[in-house]
Amino acid sequence: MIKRLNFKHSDEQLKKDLKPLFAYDLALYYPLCDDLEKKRLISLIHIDKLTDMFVELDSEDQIDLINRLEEPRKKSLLRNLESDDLKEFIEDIDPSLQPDMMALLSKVKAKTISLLLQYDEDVAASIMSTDFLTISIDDTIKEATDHVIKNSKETDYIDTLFVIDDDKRIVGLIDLKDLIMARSNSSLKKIMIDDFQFVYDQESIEKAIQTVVDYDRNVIPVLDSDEHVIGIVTADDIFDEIIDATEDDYQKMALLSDYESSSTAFERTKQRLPWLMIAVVLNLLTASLLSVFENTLQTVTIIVFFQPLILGMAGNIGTQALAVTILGINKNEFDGKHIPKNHVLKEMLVGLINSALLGFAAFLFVTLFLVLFPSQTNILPYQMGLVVFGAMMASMFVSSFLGVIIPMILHRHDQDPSSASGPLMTTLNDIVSLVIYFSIATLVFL
Amino acid sequence: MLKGLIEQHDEKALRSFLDDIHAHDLAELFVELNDEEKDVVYQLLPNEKLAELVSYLEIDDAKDVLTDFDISKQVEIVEMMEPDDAVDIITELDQDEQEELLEQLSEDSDIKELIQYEEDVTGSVMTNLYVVVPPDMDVKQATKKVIKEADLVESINTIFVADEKQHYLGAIALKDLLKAKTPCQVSELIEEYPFSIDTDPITKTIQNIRNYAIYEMPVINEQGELLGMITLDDALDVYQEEAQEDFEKLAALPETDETSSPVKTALHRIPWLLTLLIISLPIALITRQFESIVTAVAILIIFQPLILGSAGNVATQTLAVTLQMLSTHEKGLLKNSIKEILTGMMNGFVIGLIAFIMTNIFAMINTSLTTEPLLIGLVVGLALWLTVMIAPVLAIIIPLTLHSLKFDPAVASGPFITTLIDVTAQVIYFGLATLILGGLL
Repeated sequence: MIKRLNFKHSDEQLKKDLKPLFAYDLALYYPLCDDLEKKRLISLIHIDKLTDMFVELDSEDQIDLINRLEEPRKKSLLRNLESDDLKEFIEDIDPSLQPDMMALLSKVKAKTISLLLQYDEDVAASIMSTDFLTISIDDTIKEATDHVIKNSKETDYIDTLFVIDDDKRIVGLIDLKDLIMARSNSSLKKIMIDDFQFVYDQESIEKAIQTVVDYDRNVIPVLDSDEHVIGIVTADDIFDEIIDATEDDYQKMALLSDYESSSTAFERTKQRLPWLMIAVVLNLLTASLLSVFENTLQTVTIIVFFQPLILGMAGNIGTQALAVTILGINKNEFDGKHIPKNHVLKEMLVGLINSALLGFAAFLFVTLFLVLFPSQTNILPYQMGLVVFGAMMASMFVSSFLGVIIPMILHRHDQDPSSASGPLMTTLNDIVSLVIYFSIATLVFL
Repeated sequence: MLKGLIEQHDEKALRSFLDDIHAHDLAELFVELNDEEKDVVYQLLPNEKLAELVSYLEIDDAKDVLTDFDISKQVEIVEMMEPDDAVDIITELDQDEQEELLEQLSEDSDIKELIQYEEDVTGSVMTNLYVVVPPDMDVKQATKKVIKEADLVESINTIFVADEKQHYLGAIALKDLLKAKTPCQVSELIEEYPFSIDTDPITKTIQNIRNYAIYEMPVINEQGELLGMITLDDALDVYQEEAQEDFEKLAALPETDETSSPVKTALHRIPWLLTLLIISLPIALITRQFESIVTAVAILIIFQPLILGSAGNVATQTLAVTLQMLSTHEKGLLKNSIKEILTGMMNGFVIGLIAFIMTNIFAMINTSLTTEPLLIGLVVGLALWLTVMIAPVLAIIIPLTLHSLKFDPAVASGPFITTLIDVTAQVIYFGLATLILGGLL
């Protein structure tokens, strides 16, 4: 974050102050300014930097900024934007404002944007940019180089160029580096990469992410079904997508929805409350279910001593299984939508081993505890130990099974697997664990 | 595919297959091979491709491949790798293997320089494969220099500018350099360009690469000398590792390794679970103090999971927020903490109220369990409110304390908080019960 700018400075001085600042930092600063300061800022920042800053702003602030600009500057700002950023801007603003903004664009650009807007939000094409350069396979090295230098616009991604044949089909990629290194008597055919990675426009964003990450590419082309390049997906966009997705998983695991550090206590309450309420209601339903064990509860009250222990341990092992499975799904370790038997079997076995070991540990723990701290009832310590052993083992095993299978099923039905880490899962665990625990206690003591 | 070609002993086909395949795909096929088949591949792969293969393998496999060779070939391979990738693998080698290899590397090897950095600072993942030009060079010569060195470096899209003392001055875009017309000095094209310090935490540098939307981040030392750069793809890899670690810590899951056997995996996860079991001793001890009230009002037992569960949920939420702020070094921790505590109060009030009403109704229906539905409802509702209010406080204080004691707050907070919350919740719940329902004893 940058220090406060001194708006008492002259325009000349302020311009100097602004020069070393990066667009991203300015974008953080802009929403904090008052009306007059915003006006001065905008008038003093060069249009290129203003465009970069605009990209980093929230939708609301973007509108605020654009409305402060004069018509010609408005136009040049919008024209300076990369097509994916422009599309995102138009998509996020109020629909009633969209036609006005579209009118400011050149005809070609407006057409591109309305085309981009038609893609579903989870296909690769929806995050693509259309600012790329193609070169014809028939060009000589010199022609191609000149073409790039003369025809590339400020917004174009030119680090990699796309080679097309007479039918405009893609035949290869050339990194700009290789093009300018090439000797003039070489040919594009010789220096281009013909075995390249790409995605089709209707393939998923995940596919695009995976391709960029696996092959360490900075850019991949997006092709239509006729092998025409219709756009590119760049690694920095992928980076954003990945960060959003991981943060989303993390927050779901931590039972947070859409957390923003700037939101007020009241907003946070509103966001989290529904979910806590669901948990409370589910818990109370569990409680009413458990009232069938009335007799047991009244005779063997010491089962309450170890109730948190059993619920806690079942919850812990369930969380572990869930986390491993979500990580596996995210890393695309499981092919397609089939439930991978190996993973399930392995996790089951792990669950079995650990629940047996911990059940045994709990038996020792409980017996010892009741020997050291005898209870008022006449229950023998080892009996209670056995009850806890059985309950712990069974509930931990079931819980680890649920932790593996629920996200898998969700994934298979195209649902987000990480939404399994929610109240439903916890409550299901609690019900199963408590029913097992109380049933075993009933069997042993009544 | 690869296996088939090896079985057919068709060396020519195999050679051209290996020649064409991307190292990522090769790495995936390679791990499926047995030792003899691997030997066949080793025979046919040139060092350069071997180095690529090693970079794309999982770290443990890469280690195995590397140690399959004698020391002189090992040196050849690691010197062909990008230094940051090489360091990743070398640090995983056994002590003596590591020392032997490092000894054989040339004195000025970048690997030796990189390996000195701590694992989580920026310097440890940088590479030096970029072009540097001096500010007073003419664009024509600069272009020539770029073209000459292009083959040796990772990227020439951004060219860094540094003076003769290696002081970092900024960067120029290849685009601008190509378009510039001589006579024109490099210094005229220099743009303000972000940079990182080698000792900065890697997480901070990754954030900046994302924020400034750049593909290459230069790394300088305290004296302002250009040392190296971090590329976007390296940042991505590191980010994914870090994110996975955070996720695992939140789930109290030790580092995962998909290839190990179930028994090994099980044993790997046991220590944590056992710790969690042992630290739940105080919970049982506390409950014991309230045995008489529980015996008198057994219905309390069935609402206990509700109280503990809700407090646990709220604590997890606040904990995640606090950890995120600690790890991204965000400011405003105090303000955030106040917000979290206020949130806890409001949430607690609403769900406490709901619990009060529902418990009341429930107790009225199940008359055999209690004769005091209103009082039971009051105990449950109040206890819920109080615990949900206290939960965020604990979830803020504990990670902060651990942090200031130099422990990793992400690892230790979870279990500590669960136990503390459970104990507190028990005291509040059964304490309130004794107060309000004491007459029933």
